[in-house]
Amino acid sequence: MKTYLHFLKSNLLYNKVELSFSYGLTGLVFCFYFYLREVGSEAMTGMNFVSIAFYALLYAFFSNKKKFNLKYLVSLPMPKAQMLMVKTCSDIVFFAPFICLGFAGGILSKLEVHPLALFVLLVQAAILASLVLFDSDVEQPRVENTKASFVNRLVFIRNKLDFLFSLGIVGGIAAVVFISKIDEVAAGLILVTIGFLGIGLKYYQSLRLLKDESLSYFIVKRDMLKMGLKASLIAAPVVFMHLNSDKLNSPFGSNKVFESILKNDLGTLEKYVETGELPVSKGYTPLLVAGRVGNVEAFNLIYSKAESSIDDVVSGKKFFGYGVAHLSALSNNLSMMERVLSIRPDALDMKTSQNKTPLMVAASNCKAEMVDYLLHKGANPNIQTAKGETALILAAKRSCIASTALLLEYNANPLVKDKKGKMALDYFGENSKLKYLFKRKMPKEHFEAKRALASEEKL
Amino acid sequence: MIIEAINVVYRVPNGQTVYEGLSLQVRPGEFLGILGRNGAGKTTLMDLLTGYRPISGGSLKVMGEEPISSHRRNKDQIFVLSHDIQIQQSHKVSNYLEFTSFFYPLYDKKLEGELVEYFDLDPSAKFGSLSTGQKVKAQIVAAFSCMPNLILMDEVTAVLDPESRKKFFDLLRTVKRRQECSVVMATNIAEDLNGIVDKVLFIDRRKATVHKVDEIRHLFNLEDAA
Repeated sequence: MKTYLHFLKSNLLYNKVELSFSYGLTGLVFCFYFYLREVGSEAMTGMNFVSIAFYALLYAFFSNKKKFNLKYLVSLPMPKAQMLMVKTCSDIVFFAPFICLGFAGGILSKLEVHPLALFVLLVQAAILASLVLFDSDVEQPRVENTKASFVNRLVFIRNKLDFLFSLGIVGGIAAVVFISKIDEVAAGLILVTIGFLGIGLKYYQSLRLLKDESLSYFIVKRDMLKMGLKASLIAAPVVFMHLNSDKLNSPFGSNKVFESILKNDLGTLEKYVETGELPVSKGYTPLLVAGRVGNVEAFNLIYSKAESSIDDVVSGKKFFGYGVAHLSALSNNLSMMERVLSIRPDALDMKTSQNKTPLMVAASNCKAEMVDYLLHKGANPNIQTAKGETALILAAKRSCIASTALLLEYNANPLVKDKKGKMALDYFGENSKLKYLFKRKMPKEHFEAKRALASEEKL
Repeated sequence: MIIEAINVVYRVPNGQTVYEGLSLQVRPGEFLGILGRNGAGKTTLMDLLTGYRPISGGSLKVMGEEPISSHRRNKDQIFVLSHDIQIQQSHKVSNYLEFTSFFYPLYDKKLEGELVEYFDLDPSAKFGSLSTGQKVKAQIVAAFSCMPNLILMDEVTAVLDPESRKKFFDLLRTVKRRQECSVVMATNIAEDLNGIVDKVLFIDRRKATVHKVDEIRHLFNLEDAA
């Protein structure tokens, strides 16, 4: 700890100019944010912060170089393991702007990760970056002193492949965590744990690199095998996804009945319908699939001959609780919706367990034509979900401009607030080009009160 | 034994063999000079002794420990002084000395002050503004103030001006007389070793042999040249 503080102190004291510059710039970014925070949505500002954080990371990468060269550090009386630990952890002062900006960006972009976990993840990223920098400090002098030969130059390719491999693993795990839509605390915990494992692995690799000089060179027998294995592991998922793209992209899995619906192969479908062999896959019945893909003929065939119920709902993970009307709204096929409504007129405002209506599904997916059709048929635009969201709020959240305009036209109430206390306009941002449309529908007093509040704050 | 090397082999991975069967012993208080033609492997030997590079075969121990080991306990009794060591340009001489002193429990601040004066160094000068010779002098001040049992010096005298060289060798003679520490000194200037070292390790074509100081002239065929 004493040695760590000594390194930290020396980093702070002896790099005053560099650090003042980068910390000062970060401060300016925050000042600009507070000054201009009324402009644009929070999500956009968040993305801007993330972009600036990326530049801060690059700056830290280039400025955090050549304080003491490796020979000096190795000659110091402390174990290599300790030297590596204190050096990389104390270099965190150079990455502080990246951590602050990345944190602000993550919070404003409403990333589905707990704030504490986000902070720890950014610190972990900084330590990893520092370890990567350290590796290059170890390798560069070694490689520079070797004879220029084709085999020795292969080190460059090997290192790039290693980097891609690590990036692939990290990206893959993060994608799985986000896609699985687990609780944000659990997601944070999983990512932080993986982050610590990653740091542990990188630390071990860096320590090995420091002790084993041969790792800085390309040893044909050893490295060709490793490269081949890693290249296969990178290529295998890509090839698998390419070969099975149809199945993977399908939210309802793949079987012969579903395939015949997708391909509009009514002959094959009829055979299965007559034998009564209608499978359920990933919570989807054939009738729901027909509704989802907007195949009216297949829908009629299944509905008329099989014992399928119009009240079927998706029991699978994706679109859980959606009925055939919701799926038809998603398909954006007006004939499909017309057919469903002809069988069940009350399906117009059919609700899922979360109170979601077909209009909300169409609005939140920017299916303007469907929104227009449903509103024309008399769908209620002011129903609220369990989270208090109306179709207008959902359309605003996704920046679906045409759907928002249509909903306002059909008298959707712009003053309804969700459970976070936000109205649709709040999701667009005060200076949105749609403000005029909202203004037409919102009482004058709302804007006057807001303006008065803003001028009071300024005073 | 301060340094004990038995049949040390060092091969650059994917490269040439630098030594085969290097054997060597340095006792407490003994001064060893290392000589060899350019590219013979003098700096590489220093790297092996520092633990910067691992040996490929044989056995090498410095103060009873393998230099490449991660858990060395006696490293605070060794100081490495090298022309290869770079200090950040924005560091002042005083910053560097303070940073280094933290790691050496026997560091003598009073001696540091005397040596700074002796070598006519400005403690407030930044490394970026110093000449190569002045940078080496700052390292020399740190080396002797640390009161180590072993100083490894790699090509430090070549960059010093005549006055500083004289001061440096006077200091070395004082240290040798008091038998305060052992010194291993790699250099290209054979004359530097006269009257300073007890023996010389000569590295030539992968072989390293130990010689007496008065044999130096024979090693480089200097007599024929004269």
